[in-house]
Formats: sequence, C-alpha cells, structure tokens
Amino acid sequence: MNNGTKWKTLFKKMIPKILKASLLVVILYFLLYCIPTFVMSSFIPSKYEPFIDIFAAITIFFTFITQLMSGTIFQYVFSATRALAFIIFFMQLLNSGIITENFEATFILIDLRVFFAMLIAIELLEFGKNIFEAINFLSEKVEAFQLPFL
Amino acid sequence: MKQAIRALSLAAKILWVIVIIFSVTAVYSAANLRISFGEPETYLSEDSLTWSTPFFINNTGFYEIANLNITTHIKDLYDKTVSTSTTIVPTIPPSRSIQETHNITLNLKNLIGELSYLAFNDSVFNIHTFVALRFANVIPIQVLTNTTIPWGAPLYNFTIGEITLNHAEMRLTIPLSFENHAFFGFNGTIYIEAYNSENEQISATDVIIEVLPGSGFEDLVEMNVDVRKLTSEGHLRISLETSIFNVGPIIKSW
Repeated sequence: MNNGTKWKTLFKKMIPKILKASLLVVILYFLLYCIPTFVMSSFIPSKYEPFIDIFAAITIFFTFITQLMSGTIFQYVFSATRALAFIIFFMQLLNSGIITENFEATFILIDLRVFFAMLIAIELLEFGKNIFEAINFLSEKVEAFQLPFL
Repeated sequence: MKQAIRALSLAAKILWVIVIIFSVTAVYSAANLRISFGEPETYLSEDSLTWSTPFFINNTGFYEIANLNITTHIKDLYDKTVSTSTTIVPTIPPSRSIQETHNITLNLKNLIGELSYLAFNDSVFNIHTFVALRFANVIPIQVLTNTTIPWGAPLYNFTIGEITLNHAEMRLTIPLSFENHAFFGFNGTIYIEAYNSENEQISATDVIIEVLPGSGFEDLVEMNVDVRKLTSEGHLRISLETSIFNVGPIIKSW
C-alpha cells in the first residue's frame, strides 16, 4: 500500500468520525451551554454559572475526543478519564453541595449532597465499565494477533 | 468480561435514568407546590398576645414533604430571646394538602417582668423565622427570614412631676403623666405609697386608670398625709398593676 492510498483510507475513516464528533459537539454545546446560559440564566444564581460552564466544557471535550478515537484503545482511556474528571468535578460540588441564596432578608439553603453522591456513584460505575472495556479491547486485539499462530 | 461490561453498562444506564427522572420530577413537583397564607389574627388574652398565621400547603407533586418545621424566635434589641414558637408538620404526602396554623405567643407578663425597659421605652423586636423541611426524603431545604416589628411602650415617657405639699390641707400633690404607645389598653391601678425619711409610711393611695392605645394620661394625684410624721425629705413608691403586667415600685424622692 503506497502513501497516497494510506492517506485516502485514513481520510475515509476519519472524516465521518470528525463529522459525527462535530455534530455531537454542536448539539451538546446548544444543550449544555446555550440553554442554561441564555434561556435559563434567570433561574441559575450567578455564582453557580462557572460550574455549568465547567460541566459543559468537560462533556463537550470528552465527547469530541472519544468520538474521534472510537475503535481504538484511546476511546476507553478517554472515557475512563472523563468519568474520573466528573468524579472530581462532582466531589468539588459535593464539598459545596449546599446551595445557598439570599433574597433581601430571606436566606435559602438547599442541600443537594445526596444528589451529587448519586452522580458520583454513576461515574464510578462508568469508570469501572471503561476500564473493563479497555481490558476487553486489548485482550481481543491480542487474541486476534495470536490466532494465526495457533 | 463482556457480561461484566454489559452489567456495569446496564447499571449505569438505569442509574442515569433514575437520576434524570428524579431530577425532572423533583423540579416539576417543587414548581407545582402551592403555598398560601391566610389572614393573620391577633388574640390578646389575660397576660399573653398570640399571633395566628394560618398557612395552606397543597403538595400536587410526586414526592413527600417531611419534617416541616416552622420556628419563630422573637428577640429584643439586645438579642435576648423573648419568645420561641414552633409548628411541626410530620408529613405532607404527595397529592395531599394540609392546613395548619403557626401561633406565635408573647407572654406580656413575663416580657415586661424580665425586660422592664419595655414598659417605658419604645423598641423593636426582631422576628427570626426558620423553616426546615425534607423534600423527597433526600433534599433538606431551609429558609431563614428576618423581620422587625415595632414595640410601643405602655408607659412611654412616664413622668412624676414636682411633688408639692399643701400644709393647710395636709395633702401631697403628685403630677403623673405618660403616653400609652402599646397596642393594648392600659387598664389598671397605680398604687402610691409615701414614706418619710425614717422609712415610715405616711400615706398610701391608689388610682384606677384606663388609658386607650395611643392616648396619654396626665393627672394630679392627691394624698392625705399625717403632718406629724412628715419630714422634709422622703420618698414615694409607685407601683402599676394591670391584668397584663405589673411594674414597680418606682421610687421618687422629694
């Protein structure tokens, strides 16, 4: 296979992945950033807006990168990293998982720590699943590599 | 391996579905919660004042509201608690409504007995209302609100004027005045006792008065005295008694 054919094959494989990843990024950007920032901004206290931005950034970045890397070991590596990133993010929120707000002489406190703990539990499952998937992917590769010699 | 991955994947999906459904239904339930307050009523009994605030909660959502606790602390200007009232509603199940009344009771007898400055000085009370509840059994919510209410003194600017002695008529004349700034009428008795320099009672009298809220009282109280026991120096002991509170004795020398 010459160099030109190699590039052609690579482009054929990569372009649909890039398009799919880009489309997902646009959808997620709209759902996770535009709607909370522009449509629901009046419901979200300003001090919690950075958390929404961080959540959107983590989700969009890892969705793009895992889509791009799909079919390789890096898909699982980045998925596991995303789960870890979310665990750290939710733990940060868990520390301050008590939402407080002042409206003139009224102080409101909402304790969402149980809710964030549930999200951390889900991300732990996701992390475990991605590790298993990575191991499974590697073992399948090894088996496929060894099969002709058996 | 694949079965483990499938199981983990399924568990994560199920949990995501649960969390998303819970989030959406919790927000929907909170948005559909109807809270309204009735007309507050005030009751003045023998020695206490009670504010009754009826409230109505219609839980049209999907989740229970548990351990609803409404506590009101009334504090004076110096942060001393003068009253604490609590209303507890153990549970409001979904699709149910409740009607309760939060009563705030102020024991005026104890209040003026312990904080006598309130009998003579206008002031303000700070009302701290604390509302706590557990929404959907996993989300504790607390609301704290502060308001102030004015306190009008029933004996505002209580003044004992220049005491004069009429030797010919053997009579002491005591000018008394005050303004009733309280929300309740001052119906009671003023007891006045006169003592000479040897602490011997030389006269005693009582005056029954009725002063409406927002009105003033100004009068000259006359007392017959035993001139033989009268000395150039002495003092008056003035006590005020009503069905709500007692004040005194106030000592005024001449």
